[in-house]
Amino acid sequence: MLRVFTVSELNGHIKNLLDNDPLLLNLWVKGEISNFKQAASGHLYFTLKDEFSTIKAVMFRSRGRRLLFTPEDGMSVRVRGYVSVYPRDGTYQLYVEEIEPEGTGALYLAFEQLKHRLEKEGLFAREHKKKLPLLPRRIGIITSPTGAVLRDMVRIIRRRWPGLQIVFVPVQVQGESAPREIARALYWLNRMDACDVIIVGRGGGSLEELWAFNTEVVARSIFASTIPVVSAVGHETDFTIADWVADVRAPTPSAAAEMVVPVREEMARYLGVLEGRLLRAVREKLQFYRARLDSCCRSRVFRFPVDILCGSRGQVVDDLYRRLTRAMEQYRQHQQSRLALLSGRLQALSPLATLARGYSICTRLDTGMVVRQAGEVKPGDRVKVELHRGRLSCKVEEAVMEQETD
Amino acid sequence: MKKLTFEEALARLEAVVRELEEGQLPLEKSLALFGEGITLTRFCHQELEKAEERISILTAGDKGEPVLRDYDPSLVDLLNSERKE
Repeated sequence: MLRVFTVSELNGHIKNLLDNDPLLLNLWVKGEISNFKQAASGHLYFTLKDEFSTIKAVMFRSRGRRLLFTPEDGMSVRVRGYVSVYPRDGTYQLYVEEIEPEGTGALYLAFEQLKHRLEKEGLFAREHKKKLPLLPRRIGIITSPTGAVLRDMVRIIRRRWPGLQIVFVPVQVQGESAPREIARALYWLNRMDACDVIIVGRGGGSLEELWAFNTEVVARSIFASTIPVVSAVGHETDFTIADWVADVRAPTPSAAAEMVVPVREEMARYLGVLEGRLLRAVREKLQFYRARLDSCCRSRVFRFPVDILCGSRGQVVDDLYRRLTRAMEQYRQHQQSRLALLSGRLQALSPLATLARGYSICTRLDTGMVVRQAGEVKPGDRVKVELHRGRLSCKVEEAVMEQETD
Repeated sequence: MKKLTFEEALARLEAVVRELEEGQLPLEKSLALFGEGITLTRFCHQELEKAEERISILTAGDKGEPVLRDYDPSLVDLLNSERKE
């Protein structure tokens, strides 16, 4: 007679068998992820499958948290874990402790995933890029206190523009605490408004060593910075998420220092050029006005002001003048003809005309008085007798008074 | 009024020069611009000569709050040794 088991007893027995199998205790399985979901509890559930078969898999939250990348359906992976039974459902499943992406490394995959996600979110978008100040007064540098990076940058900054302030925030640039320290440094510099530009970086290293600059917390801190951020991570060929989020990516820390700080001599030269142009422009302006003024002074209006200024009025004057002279001429002619007329009549009255008829005029030589009566002279007086032509000088012989008729 | 930055002053100076060079302005305006340009040039030169070289270090204080200190002697030593090269 066979023993009758409860369901629990059966599942417990099977679980026991599986749990004691040395192979199932710890093994790697490769396959493709499907039906991936993250439960509210944080546990990850998925199915691992190949061409012919599937197995349920679970990754508890404590393990899943350590995953750098997010598993996705269709992803080819290798998982490590153990096989056991879930007694409640009577199912066996793979209890996953690690997942590695097939082909590429987990770090690389995580990098790609984060990059993709942040890019979709717009963290790399051009419109978010801030312009670097032309001349920063204070430069924030977030990097390791050890190593040549800080020293090189300080040397370059001093060489290019002596006298700039540097606010240095020493941080771990790799290891567990690095992402948080870098993020905090960015936050501090912003909160204290401690500088005009931030250089965040480190020297070259492996993907693992550069990892802090590929973390979401650093990416988001750079994005949140209101102060422009220059990323300067590793060598020319190293690209990190920080590089994409940063306002400017410098290929190396030294290059970052060069990008951020102009060369003072060059700036001074440029300022000199501007100064020269300023002076020349205003000099040309003055010359232009002077030339205009000169040409005005040489113009007809200044040389013949009356002609130009009085123009039409001059014509009126001329016209009036002409009329005046004409009127005067007419007046003169009129007077002249009157004079001729009068002089003709005067001619007729002239004693000379009477003389022509044979009369003569006798005047006293001494007084010139006309002698009208004999009594006005006495014998011996000298008189002048005016004839029509010529005159006589005479001496009175006798003065004969005439008898009065009436 | 907010204090002009070197960059703003330089940008304004460039604009002033351009405007003057275009030469379409009345004389009074030209001379006013020229005066402004000279002031800006002087300011830029002053900024150029400004030297406030200082290295501060921002680290966490006892309670994790940020503390800005003037400099770390060891760092200054490091930089000084560098400068002698």
